[in-house]
Amino acid sequence: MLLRNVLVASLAVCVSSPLVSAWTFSNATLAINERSGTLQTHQFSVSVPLPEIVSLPSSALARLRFTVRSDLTPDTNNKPHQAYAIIEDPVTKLESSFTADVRENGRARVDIDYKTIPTALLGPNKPLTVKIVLASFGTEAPLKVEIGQILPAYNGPAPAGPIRFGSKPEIIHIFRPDPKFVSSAISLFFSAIVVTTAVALIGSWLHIGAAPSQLPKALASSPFGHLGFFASIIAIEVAFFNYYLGSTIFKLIAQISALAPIAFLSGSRALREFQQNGMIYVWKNAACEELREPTINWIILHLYLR
Amino acid sequence: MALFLRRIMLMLSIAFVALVSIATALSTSGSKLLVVLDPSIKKEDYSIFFDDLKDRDFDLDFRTSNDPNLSLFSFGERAYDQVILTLPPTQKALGPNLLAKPLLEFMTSGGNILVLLNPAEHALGSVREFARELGIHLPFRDTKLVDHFNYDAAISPELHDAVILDPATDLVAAPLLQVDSTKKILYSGSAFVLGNNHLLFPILRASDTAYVYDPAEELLESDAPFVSGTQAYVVAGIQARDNARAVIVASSSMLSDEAFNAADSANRELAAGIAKWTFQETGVIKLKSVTHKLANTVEENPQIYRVKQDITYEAEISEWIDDKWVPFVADDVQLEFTMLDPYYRLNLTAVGASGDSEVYATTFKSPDQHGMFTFNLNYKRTGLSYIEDKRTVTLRHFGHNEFLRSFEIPNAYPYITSLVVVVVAWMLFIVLWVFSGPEKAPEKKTQ
Repeated sequence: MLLRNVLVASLAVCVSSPLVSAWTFSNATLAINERSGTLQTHQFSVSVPLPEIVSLPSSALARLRFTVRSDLTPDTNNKPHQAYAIIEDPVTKLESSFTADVRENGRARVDIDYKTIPTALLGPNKPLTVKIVLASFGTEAPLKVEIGQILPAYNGPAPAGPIRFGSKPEIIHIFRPDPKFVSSAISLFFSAIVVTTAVALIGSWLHIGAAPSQLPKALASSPFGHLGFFASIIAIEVAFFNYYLGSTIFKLIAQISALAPIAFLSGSRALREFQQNGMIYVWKNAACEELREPTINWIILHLYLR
Repeated sequence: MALFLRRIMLMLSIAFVALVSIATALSTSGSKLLVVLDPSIKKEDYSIFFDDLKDRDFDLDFRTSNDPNLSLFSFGERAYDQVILTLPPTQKALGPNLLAKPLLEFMTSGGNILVLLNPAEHALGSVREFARELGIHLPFRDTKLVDHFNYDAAISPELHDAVILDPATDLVAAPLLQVDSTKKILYSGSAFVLGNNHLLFPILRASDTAYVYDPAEELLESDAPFVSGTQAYVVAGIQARDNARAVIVASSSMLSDEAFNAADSANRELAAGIAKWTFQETGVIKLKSVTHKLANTVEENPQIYRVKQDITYEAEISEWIDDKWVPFVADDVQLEFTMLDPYYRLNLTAVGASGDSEVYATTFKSPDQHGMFTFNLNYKRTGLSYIEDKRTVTLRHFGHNEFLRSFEIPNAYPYITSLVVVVVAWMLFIVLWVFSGPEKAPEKKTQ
């Protein structure tokens, strides 16, 4: 363990120059390569980033090449321990790093393959910033510089991310629509037709001469009978109307059981009065009897003839 | 938004506590603390950490892992409420009482575990298995976390493995842990990877230029780091569904007296924050009561409602701060009114404090579908205790006398008028017919 530490430390202190140096790179290019060839190439440097957002199609990879120098004197160690290209989503701050392959002469190459970009970083119109990090053990100043942005292609929705706790969208139940009613005006119009018909009918009765001519005489002879019966019938109708409007069945039964005996008694009085005053016409008058016999003879005659 | 409100609440509640001293907080889950101290670790090196725990009324029981009388359970019940595990520097087992299975059973029976990994030896097989059950993937032996950008130049100028973490950016759970963000956190050890388990509670991670390397394999260049950047976690925890908590700290040296006493170090506050979260002193909320009723009525929690009625739902939630329950204020508490699928998912509004809890209420119209519905209050947020409450009620359909009456329906006016007209006309007809007749009786013709 100690030996290993000493080895690592010794690697770091290879520099013979007394100056404090810094990691840097030069001759840097970014190429978008597909199997068919290179689509585009851009140059960048530590101070000058990529001129525009470079788009990365889904079948391509972005190849960064640069030459690493820790300082300008020769015989220096050109391989930093950490040579990464980091792509980062500036909104969510998620990042993924790609290691660079650095050779002895300092030439380094990093491939950012579209297929190796984590799906959490992909999305519609989400450019990712690309940074290069060069650092190593020892006292040399490390380098972390943003060199530009790439825009990976977005091929439709990624699979849903992992479950995370948090509040979910509100749901408010949509009720079934209330039943629609016709406007009162149309309804009342038809009610008016009904009422008009009834008025016309009653008018026609009065027109052909219907009149309660026997009413005064009948009332005089049995006021309780006729008036009582009629009033009790009206009262029973009113009781039913109240039940329709919302009284309970028990109230209805109570009212009917109070009104029914009155109706019975007054009704029998009224019928007795009718019978006494000859208001009940028995079908025994001459006109009807005369009509009956020819009818029977006519039927028997036809039966014989069949 | 919720985080902001919670932060405000916590800031206000600790406003009177000096940042250096540790608040007097008590655990809601018990004070019996077992410390499994490996012989390679000297208790004196961690005296400040253990003294802080003693100040918060914990009964510390120091044992070694090969103690034959050590058992997490006694007669089937948990013998301790909390456990701190420290691990040996070489690959040795912790004993049959501290394998992954007893640790998991300890958690399922409600105990909390704090695991301090050894900076050199990161996991024994049993602890690695335990961590994997939680969704945490521990690093391999002898790996180290280095950061060439943020390191302590006084301690490791060449190797850069004394990493400095910044509480402002690297502390993920800042509101719950209450660490001064102007100080720095000293760390040296390795780092682990978290899985995607939603029960995990990440606490402290490395900065985006840090990475873990294996000095044996990757001496010259880091070509395949175990983990790099902000995906490298140094302290992470999990809260199981029964609210038992476990936290893994990737290096016990972060809690040592040296780290606490270093200049400008926030390690002591961080250690207190981690211990308080693990041992159920902070981030503990509970549901005090739930009532539902018809709006503007008195009877509480009826078993039957009807479709299309206004229902009021109230829940009371408290939070444990220092040593008592206080109202817990948040703006993301939701109620679901469910029958197989949620018909309603409503945000509950905090209407005011009542005693030691905050009342959350909402009023809604019961849906027009009859059936067995559930009031489901499911409040699970990372870092806080889980609250889940389900109450089932019946929603009956309209009774026969709860529909619209015919005279309230305009469509029925013609029928009602024709009914009335028939009755009236019939009465008139009776009077006209019965009392009509010739003025005189018909006279027989005489010759």
